[in-house]
Amino acid sequence: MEIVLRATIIFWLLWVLLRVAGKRELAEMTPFEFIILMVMGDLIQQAVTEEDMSLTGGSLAVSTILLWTLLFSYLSYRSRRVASYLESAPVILVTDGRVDEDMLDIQRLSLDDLLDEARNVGIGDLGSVRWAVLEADGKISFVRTDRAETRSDDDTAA
Amino acid sequence: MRRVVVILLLAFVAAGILGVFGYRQGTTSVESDRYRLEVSYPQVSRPGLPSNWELRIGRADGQPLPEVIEVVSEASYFDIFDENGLDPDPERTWQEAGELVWQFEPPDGSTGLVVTFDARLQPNIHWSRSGSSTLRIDGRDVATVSYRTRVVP
Repeated sequence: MEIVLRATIIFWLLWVLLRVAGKRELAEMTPFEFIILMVMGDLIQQAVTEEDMSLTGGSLAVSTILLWTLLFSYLSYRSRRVASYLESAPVILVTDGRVDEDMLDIQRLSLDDLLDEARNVGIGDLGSVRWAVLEADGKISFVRTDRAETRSDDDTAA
Repeated sequence: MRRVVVILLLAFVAAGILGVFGYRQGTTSVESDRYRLEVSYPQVSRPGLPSNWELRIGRADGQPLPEVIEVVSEASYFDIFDENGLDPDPERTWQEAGELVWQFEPPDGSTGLVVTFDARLQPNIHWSRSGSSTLRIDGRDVATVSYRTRVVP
């Protein structure tokens, strides 16, 4: 019973921490943040399973976390209102070439970050951008004004 | 198919919440020849979990215990544990023919003795194990209790 409770607490704690960390942190990590994430994984494992070295204990922890994930996914699918609480919503950073600097501040993004992302998808001038959207997964999508084309960070990897 | 898997997961976690996979403590006792012997033991446990084994000896008629008491247990049962401590320390301990013998000398006038074996189930144990403990007084077996620890892998 304890292991289910501990896995539940850790799931909620991680959910809160990742919401607080912000969308951009999920998409881009510095080497230091990557190390922190690795260390967190180790600490969380100890917190969830403690001294339990059994296959059953590990399976219970994984199953509990998976069930919470499925429940969140189902609730988000059924209700937009719930989804707005559980998941991050996309935010617009640029509209018709005008940068929303307040939104950049809220998302802890600098103008250089935005320009960097724009260059990554072949955009040299934000004036040619109809919308730049910070998506829920932390990636930035750009919609150009000159032609109906949508690109995001992922396109550069192809 | 997905729905079936989700239902199975739910059933598995519910079983975990209800303690089906341990840890559960069991108790067994016997009263024989004016002596009462009781053992509290890990009934269901998992590898690595702290496990408590406790033996209680008393006189049904309220009379004091004899000067020397021997507790004879199956040694193989205790092999599944990593021992943290035995309290009180026996005056003498020895093994003979697969039996683990603890000899205690209770204080004068005491009417009961509680022996606590603090341990942890070894991480590499995945099978259940049975054991028994016998109260031996003046070389005569007075009472015996049997128990079984079910190990959930």
